[in-house]
Amino acid sequence: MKNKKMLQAIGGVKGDYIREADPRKVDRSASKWKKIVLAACIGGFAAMTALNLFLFTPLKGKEIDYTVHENSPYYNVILALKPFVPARNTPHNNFEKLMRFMRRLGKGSHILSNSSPMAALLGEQYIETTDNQVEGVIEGDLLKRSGNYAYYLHDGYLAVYDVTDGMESYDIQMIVEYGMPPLDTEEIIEWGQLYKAYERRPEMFLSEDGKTVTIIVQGIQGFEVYRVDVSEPRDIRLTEERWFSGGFCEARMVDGKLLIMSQEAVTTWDFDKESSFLPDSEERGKAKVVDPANVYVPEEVNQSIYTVVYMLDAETLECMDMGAVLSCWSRFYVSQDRIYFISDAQGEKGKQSTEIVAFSFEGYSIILEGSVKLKGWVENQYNLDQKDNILRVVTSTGNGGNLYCVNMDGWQVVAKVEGFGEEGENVTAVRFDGDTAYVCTAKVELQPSTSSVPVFYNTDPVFQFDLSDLRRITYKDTGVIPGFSSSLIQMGDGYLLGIGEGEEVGSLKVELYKETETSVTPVCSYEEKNVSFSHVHKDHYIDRENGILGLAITDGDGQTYYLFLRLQGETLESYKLEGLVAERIETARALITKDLICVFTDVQGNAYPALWETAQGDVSEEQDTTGEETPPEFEGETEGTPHTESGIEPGMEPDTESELGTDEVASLGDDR
Amino acid sequence: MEDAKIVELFFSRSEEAIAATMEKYGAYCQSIAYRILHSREDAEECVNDALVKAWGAIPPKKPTHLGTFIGRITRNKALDRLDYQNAKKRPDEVALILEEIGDTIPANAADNVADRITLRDAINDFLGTLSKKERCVFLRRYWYFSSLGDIARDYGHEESYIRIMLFRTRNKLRLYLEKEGITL
Repeated sequence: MKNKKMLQAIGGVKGDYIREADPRKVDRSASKWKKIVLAACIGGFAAMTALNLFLFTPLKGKEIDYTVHENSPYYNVILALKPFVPARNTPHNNFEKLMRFMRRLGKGSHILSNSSPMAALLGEQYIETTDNQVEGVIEGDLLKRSGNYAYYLHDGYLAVYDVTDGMESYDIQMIVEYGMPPLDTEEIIEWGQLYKAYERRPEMFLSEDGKTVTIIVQGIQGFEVYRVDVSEPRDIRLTEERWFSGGFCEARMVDGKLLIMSQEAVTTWDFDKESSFLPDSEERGKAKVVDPANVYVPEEVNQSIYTVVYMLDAETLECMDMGAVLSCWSRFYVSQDRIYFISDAQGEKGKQSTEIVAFSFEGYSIILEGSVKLKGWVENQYNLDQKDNILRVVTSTGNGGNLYCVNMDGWQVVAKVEGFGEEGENVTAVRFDGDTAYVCTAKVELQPSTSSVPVFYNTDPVFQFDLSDLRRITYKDTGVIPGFSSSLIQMGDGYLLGIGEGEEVGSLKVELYKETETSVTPVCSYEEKNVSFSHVHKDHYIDRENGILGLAITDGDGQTYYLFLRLQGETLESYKLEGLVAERIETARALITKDLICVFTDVQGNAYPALWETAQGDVSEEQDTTGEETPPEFEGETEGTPHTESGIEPGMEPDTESELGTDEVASLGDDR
Repeated sequence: MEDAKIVELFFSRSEEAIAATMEKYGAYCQSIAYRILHSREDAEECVNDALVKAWGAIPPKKPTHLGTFIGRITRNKALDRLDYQNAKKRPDEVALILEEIGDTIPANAADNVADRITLRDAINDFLGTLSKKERCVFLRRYWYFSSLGDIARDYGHEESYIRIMLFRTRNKLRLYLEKEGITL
């Protein structure tokens, strides 16, 4: 009877429950969904089969008739591209066709939101943190600063820090995610010949009023330019983004114009359609190709890749003009009115040359100006300098260095010094300072198995060239000293700081030089063995005003620290900030405020009590001007012992010309 | 015709009330009775008996949901008839249901009306603790006497899944009743 009692009890359950379970009201959607999913699977399979047949069925190709393009303003470009056109030009199938189309999609800009209404009222004045090569030509970097805030770019994030109010408020305030993380090696290989561009770092600019951050970052198949409204640093907003095809190289900001250098491969060979084989930007849905007068076709086109400069209005990100070189070049020098594209070494070993192409810019126009070919090759942007319409270039030849002065009116070499340095040496660092050029050379022997790992450094001098009279270029040098510099920094008052490596491979050597009437004299040096650091100039903290240099270092045990060196008279004080955590030390950046030393890495941001009073930015007026030193608040040591290897004490003049300096009259250029 | 209208007909003692109820809920009641008795004729008789009982009960009762009201009477009538037929024939499915549910109820429980009310309230409370799906499956099996196959089809599951779900619900019910003091 138990079951009967139970059924009777169940019979008395609430009417709501009975109606809820009513078989007539059962929602059979679950089983219905099963059927729908099954039908969708079958349909999807059929659709996929049909799509595969459509996408991958081979298409019939056709040969290109180049003669029909004879009247095209780009005919010279088309002929230059001819050797690179694959035997079968048309896409193999519809999939390739679709991919080519997709690559062209997405160009243009997207306004995400309007700037903050508070933007006109708020904002902090810009304080330069990057050691720009040319005054007025701002270089993009990972760190920028306004009065109270630091903006640091790392691994897809823009972090905003309050850097003025002591340790408590020093923290990440906001993070905005953008772009793509760096591609790994396999992806780089997959994307082929643009790999160099994909290795480039993102760059960032901060507007003069401190209200807008502009970020340029590499993505897949193209790079993106973002504008972020930071007028309210605790509520930053992405306001606009713009996509460009190709690989991002470098950027500069000059007088409200954003100059972006990039590389763009030709992937389609439809010469009837200009936007398919020329660099272009998209404005209001329309492709705007580079003007034919602004395309330079070198004699030696190394790849079917354009090196491009886009000029953008920094306010609107609208592309105003562009210029291009049909070759894959990756070094650039930007003066206040010109952009120089620098080729890789061309020609046979021992007879290499470098081609330099200049685009001038005025207002919002770019004009291809001319080119010059010089013996040797160029290491980086610091090998070039423009002064009074004269382009000065230092090249390496494998047997010393050459210095050329090129008159931009006519592109003629008007003065040159060839063959300074010893046999087997190359130029490792250059710094132009007005009418003076400092050049360091060294012989670096590479490990035969790798061809890239140095195993031995020879020793060599730092040269100082006097370029005040191009008819009579004179130079002097330091004489033989151990190691070499990869970066030279003029510190004012005739002092020069060389950052590089010491006698041993895998060491750091920072050396202070002083100019005298007859030579360049090593004054003192700081050296650490068995360490590694970035040789890229932009990765160093440089404060000329206060004589402070900073750089991130990894020691032999893999421990990372940040090293500060301060020029005190003719000695170098050193302070180490231990416990720095960084995935890649080349991303480490630092700045010093009145109260803090702030160090940023791709892993963390740390603040330390200030070691020295500095004249940094807005706090300079508050400095104690009595000249008394503020003692370090944590343990440091002074290691910058006077340089005595050559028997020279600081301040001593060289006693022999052969040991410490030469004074030679440079040969005048043949083309003067 | 709306339930309220039909109930009004009952109250006015109009024979249209029977016709309207039959039209609206005849099939519903028929299916309830048939699932218990597994005989079309017995089910029809059951439904007729239920209608007669409803005619006698309304008024004074004034059900809001006439379907549930008449369905509940039909179910009780069918169970009475099943009991009457007990010795003669009992459909296998119903026998199975009775066996399943019999293990859940404490043996000495519900001997009097008060105990039955207590048991009914406890079951109502227990059903309130279940998810809607568990509750519906439970009532489909033990109120509507649906077969496992029908429930599985209606809820889009395999029979085995429904069987396990019911097994777990019965265990939960037994524990609930024990916790409420309705022990073996």
